[in-house]
Amino acid sequence: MTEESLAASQAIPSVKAGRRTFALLKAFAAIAAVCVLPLVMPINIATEILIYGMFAMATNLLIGTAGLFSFGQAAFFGVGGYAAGYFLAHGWTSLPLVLFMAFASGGLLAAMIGGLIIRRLGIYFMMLTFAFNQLVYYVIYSWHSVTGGEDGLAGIRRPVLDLPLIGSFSFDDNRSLYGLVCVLFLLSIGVLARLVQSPFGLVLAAARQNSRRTISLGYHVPALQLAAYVIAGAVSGVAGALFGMLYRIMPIDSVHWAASAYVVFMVVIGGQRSMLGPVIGAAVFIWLQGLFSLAWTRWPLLLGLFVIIIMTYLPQGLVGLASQRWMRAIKRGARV
Amino acid sequence: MQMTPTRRAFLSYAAALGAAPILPAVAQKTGTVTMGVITPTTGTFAYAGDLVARGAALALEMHGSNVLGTNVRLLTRDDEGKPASGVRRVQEAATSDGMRYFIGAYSSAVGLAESEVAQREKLLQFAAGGSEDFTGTRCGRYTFQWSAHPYTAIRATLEYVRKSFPQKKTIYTLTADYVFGHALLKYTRIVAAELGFELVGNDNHPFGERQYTQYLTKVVAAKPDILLLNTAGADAVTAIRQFANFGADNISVVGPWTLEVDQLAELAPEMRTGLILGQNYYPDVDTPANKEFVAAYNKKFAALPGYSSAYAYDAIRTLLLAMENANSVEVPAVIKALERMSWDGVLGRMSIDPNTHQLVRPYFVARCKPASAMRHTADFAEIVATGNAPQPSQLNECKQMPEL
Repeated sequence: MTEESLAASQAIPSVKAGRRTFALLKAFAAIAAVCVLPLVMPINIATEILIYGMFAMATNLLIGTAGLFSFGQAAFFGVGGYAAGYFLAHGWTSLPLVLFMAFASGGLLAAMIGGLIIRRLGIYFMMLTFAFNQLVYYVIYSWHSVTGGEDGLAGIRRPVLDLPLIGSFSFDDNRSLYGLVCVLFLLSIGVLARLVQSPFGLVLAAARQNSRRTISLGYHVPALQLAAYVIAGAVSGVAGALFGMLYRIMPIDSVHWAASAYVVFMVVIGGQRSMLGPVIGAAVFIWLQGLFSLAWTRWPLLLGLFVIIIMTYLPQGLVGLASQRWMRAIKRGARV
Repeated sequence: MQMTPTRRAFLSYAAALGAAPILPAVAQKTGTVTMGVITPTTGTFAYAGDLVARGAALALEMHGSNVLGTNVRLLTRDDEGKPASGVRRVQEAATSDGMRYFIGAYSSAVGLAESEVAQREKLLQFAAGGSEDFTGTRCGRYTFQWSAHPYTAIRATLEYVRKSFPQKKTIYTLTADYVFGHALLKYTRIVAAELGFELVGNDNHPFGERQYTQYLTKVVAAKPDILLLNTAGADAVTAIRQFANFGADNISVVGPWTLEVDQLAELAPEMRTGLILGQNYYPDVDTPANKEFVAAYNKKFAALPGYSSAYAYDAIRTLLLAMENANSVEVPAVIKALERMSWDGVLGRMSIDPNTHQLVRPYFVARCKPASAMRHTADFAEIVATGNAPQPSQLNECKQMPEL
């Protein structure tokens, strides 16, 4: 063994250990951030930010990783919310049951729609996601006896978690619901981050850059893209269920195409190339809506300008800007 | 001394402004009552948002921004005409600004969503809208309904038609295909049977329809005596404009809850002449409280008030009266006072039905004048009848009101 290869083999464990430490640090930072959030803002806003953070991360699995520009994700958010909400409003309050219903309904609908459209490319895929979103919207709008139609699904109760030997745990209190949302949010970050870094995520990223070349290497790209579409739909469904639990109502506009556009804005604002970007985007978007609406009655104009500025000058989003600044600071430090 | 704004100062200001709505109300002033106007200033109903805010501000100003020696603060938030935004704004205002009373949702869907928050957070909501669910299936102890019940509206309008035009017996309905239109159609069927009208046809049209010819052709072919428009706003304006081109002068156009005074100007005089319209509010209502309101509104805004402004003005005025009646600004005491009091409001003698929280109030029927009879540019119609028949109790689906 040469001296160089010996040094390299000794360096690998230390690199791995460094990465592990960095990953642990990131996990602790995420946990600390979600713990601090309700101390600096009303707890319902903090809860909503985490819910939309989950929804935006799931959407970013398609946009940022797989390069599939879906403008119909609100369909899965809404269907998950309505499915869980229907059970909760009719007396079935078991937490595992309603979360499963939301996960399964979001995933199943995504499998059905994705199965039909996943092979369409570019603008055709985009328009079909939009069209299916509106189809789902009008089904929910018209099915008044089940969904409440235009008035939304009301009377949603908070779920109960039955633990053997411990007893029942209710989420009626906003703090306990926040705790539940935190757990699911952190779980989603963990699972989605692992997926993006796995061979599955790397193939999706490769297909985003060059689909034909990835197929020629032997990967079944449409099947993997469909799997990503289903996973994003299922996680969005869970986010929708949590939204229904938060306000105890599932409003019809949560499934409108505009809600799909908003989540894409969140991804764009935060940045598509990291797991944190969509979460930051969700927080900034919700915060800006509140801020601008206080400043001027025609505030959507300001929000639109903000999105235009981000897309023109910060195509990598706010997290991309922060990373650039960070890297520059490190280089400057190294020079000194 | 001239202050030069620096980038740092600007950023600090922006951060403070941004934090204001989201930081908990730890320093909430004691001795201040906060009332919210949660209303659409963007979206489909944006035109109504400013009018609602005007009415609310005027009521408070005329009361000296004070009740029982306590300052009253009015805050305005945009619900965007969307239920999800409405519940968020109500929750935020309650948590961050200490809001305990609110009015303003122009859309029933938004108001009903906000009602869920009102019951949970114990906020008093004085709602408006065409849905009967506020006082029916989704009634709540903390929600009161200012607008008339659809039954009252249909009954008052058709009763006038029955008395004034006894020869007109058949009705064709054109209905907006959403909750509001369906509620009107449901009560049209009930009231038509009560008053001896025959319904010869109905067509549902989607919200935002722009082409009514396909429905109106069927109407003319059915030869009814009356075309009853169970639709409202821009949809109704378009339908009336297109119907005028058919030249079917023998078919009377009746709208039980169709156009408010704000929208009548959008129709040419020859199109609106003879229209029979049910009104939640009309500026000519002959009561002392309304005369005072119209004079103050006209002086301040150089215009006549419509439904949106009158609702906000009367709702805020009623809440302040109820606080004085209860000798308290606490929500439970004000609710109890509202449930038992009777007062002279903008619309006349009014009270609240304690079983449903529906405002017991008159509903007005107005007949549009020809251009030659108009005294001024906004003198579109005259009030020809008033009705106040409440919804029959056997049709009401409100279960027992919960304890406070």
